[in-house]
Amino acid sequence: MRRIRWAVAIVGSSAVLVSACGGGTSPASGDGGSSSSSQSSSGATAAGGATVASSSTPGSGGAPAAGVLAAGQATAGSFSGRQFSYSGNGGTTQDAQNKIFGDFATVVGASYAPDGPPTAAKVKAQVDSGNVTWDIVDAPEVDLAEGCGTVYQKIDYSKLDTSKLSPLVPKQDCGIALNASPWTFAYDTEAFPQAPTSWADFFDLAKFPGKRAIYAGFPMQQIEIALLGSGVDPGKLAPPDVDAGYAELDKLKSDLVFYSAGSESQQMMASNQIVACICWSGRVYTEIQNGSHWALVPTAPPVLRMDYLAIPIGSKNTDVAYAAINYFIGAQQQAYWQEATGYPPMNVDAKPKLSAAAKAVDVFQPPFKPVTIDVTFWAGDLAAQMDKWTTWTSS
Amino acid sequence: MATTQDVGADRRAGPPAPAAPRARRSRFDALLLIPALLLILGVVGYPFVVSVIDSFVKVEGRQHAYAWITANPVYLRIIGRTFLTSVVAVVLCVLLAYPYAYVMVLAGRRIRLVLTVAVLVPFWVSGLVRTFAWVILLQSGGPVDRLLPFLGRDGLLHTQTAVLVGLVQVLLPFMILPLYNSMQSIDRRLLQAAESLGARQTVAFFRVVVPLSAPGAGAGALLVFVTSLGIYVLAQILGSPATSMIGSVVYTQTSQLNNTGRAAALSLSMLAGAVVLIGAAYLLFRLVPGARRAG
Repeated sequence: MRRIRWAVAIVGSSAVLVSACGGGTSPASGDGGSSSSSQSSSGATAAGGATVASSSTPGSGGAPAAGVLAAGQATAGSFSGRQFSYSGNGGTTQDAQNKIFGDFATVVGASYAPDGPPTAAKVKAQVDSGNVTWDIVDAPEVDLAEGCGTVYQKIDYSKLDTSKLSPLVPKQDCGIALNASPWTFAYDTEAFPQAPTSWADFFDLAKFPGKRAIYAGFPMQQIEIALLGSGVDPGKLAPPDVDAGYAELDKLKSDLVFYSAGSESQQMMASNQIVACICWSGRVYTEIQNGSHWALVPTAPPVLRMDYLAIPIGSKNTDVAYAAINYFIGAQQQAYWQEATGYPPMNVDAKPKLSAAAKAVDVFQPPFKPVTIDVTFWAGDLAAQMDKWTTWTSS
Repeated sequence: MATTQDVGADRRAGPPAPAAPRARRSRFDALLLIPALLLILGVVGYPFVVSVIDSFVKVEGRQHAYAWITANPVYLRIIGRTFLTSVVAVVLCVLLAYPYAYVMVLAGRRIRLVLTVAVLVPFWVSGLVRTFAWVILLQSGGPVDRLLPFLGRDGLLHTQTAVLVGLVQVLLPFMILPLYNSMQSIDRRLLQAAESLGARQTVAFFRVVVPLSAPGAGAGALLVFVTSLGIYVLAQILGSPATSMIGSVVYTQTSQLNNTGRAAALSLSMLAGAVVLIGAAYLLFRLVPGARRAG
């Protein structure tokens, strides 16, 4: 009996160890952690930024308010001895973010602490308890709209130079555009004799037979894509007719597989498990770079999933956070962002040096015509929509 | 349960110690428990009480949490599926672990060492890495699909079978180790006695080894069952949303939607179900004639 107790104790404690080690292995949230490999090139120096990194060409567009630096600039030593922290979703996207924020910290003389992940529950817990350790967080579009004014501070646009922000990204009251993750129609170029040309082809199993993959995590973006597939005009997605979207998705039920993390979608593409997918462009970018025969359908509008830089209510370094965000959205910094991650830049003046693979997924350039979702609709009804999604996917 | 091992332990204990020192010792023993008790009260007891209160009090989306569960049958279905998957995993683990542990007991020292290491090696490899290894093995066109093509048109990946394969692989050591320990302490002369009285080897195994090792199997079954209830990333990666376990719903409700009341209600429903199932299993176990003889 004593032996058994020992065994139970040993096995029990190893169980605790194993589960502790496995604890962090939750599936990646929809936008985080692209694994696209860094593209080096001029990245290091581009983001490195001298003390005065010029970004806006004089005379073009609206100038920033008086006393506000142009986007991408920072004053040397202006926050000497101060500190600020940023919470992101890890992966190569946060590597690039850390590089830019780290450069800013060096210029202004502050210390920078990266952290993460900023799940909605964690940010809210910090704000509710009044113990806010993050000054800037990566907030997904729906979370941001839901928590604007209660969890996230309203942005004082007079403290920033947003004149060069891309008109393709929707503005929000409580955040500055950080990343647009395009949900695209990716397909195996060897699977069909004729290349697909629209989202309708994604839902046409007769003309384009084979397995398709979609994301298991949530309905946003994918309901919109289903609606585009059923012929809804890209301008008439707000608010989305959710039931019509499910009806369109139902057509695929027999040939549908789900991925629950971005890495899985990549694995499916690489090992011929699927012929097409609703995939994040950063993942397709990596596959193209790795030599897979995959491509995007440029004439099927990508649906953007936006992430924003937001400042939680109760941040102790709000002034540093504003200066850091203003630096982050500069043209050089955004050029580096695209070179490092393959995701589109938020600044229209950004001039990245792109490889062929990066150009193939550069969805902010024609012929791509990206569209966005009705954030107000989803934020207002998220829990009930998630119930619906779970019911649909698990039946 | 006074098993044969306990009898042996009593015999080894020798004559009872004088009364006074024993009383002092037991008071000291009780003091030793205090750090663990404080830890359990703080990190298990307090959150548990908060969860119970949240699950009944919190109103999210103009609905009490339990009303929400009953209004969405999908969640009850997922809870049921989680229990079923875990029970099947336990049964498979028992079937695989019994012969393995028996061979470990019978084998010589060197082979036993190899067998023990083979059981423990998986513990030293990250669970996620092992799960992804199964993805490669089970996917269509993968090794398993090519060796056993009759198993399915599209390979086993994304099916309930794949989830069970992964679960059993991860949980088998939790069954083998307690089972081996309880089998090891069975006096092998009992088998000889059974055989000398006319029992065939198989009969001797089922009527002597199995009942005497039942406590080990019970401990293993409990570990496998409870651990399996909480595993969900594996079920997501090897399975599909149609095989998902309750853990992923709890994750969505807490991390994504911040509905802690609903997450608490789901967890407590699971806990209640588990308590009922384990209680029923315990009662059934006592009804098994062999187990009663051992107990």
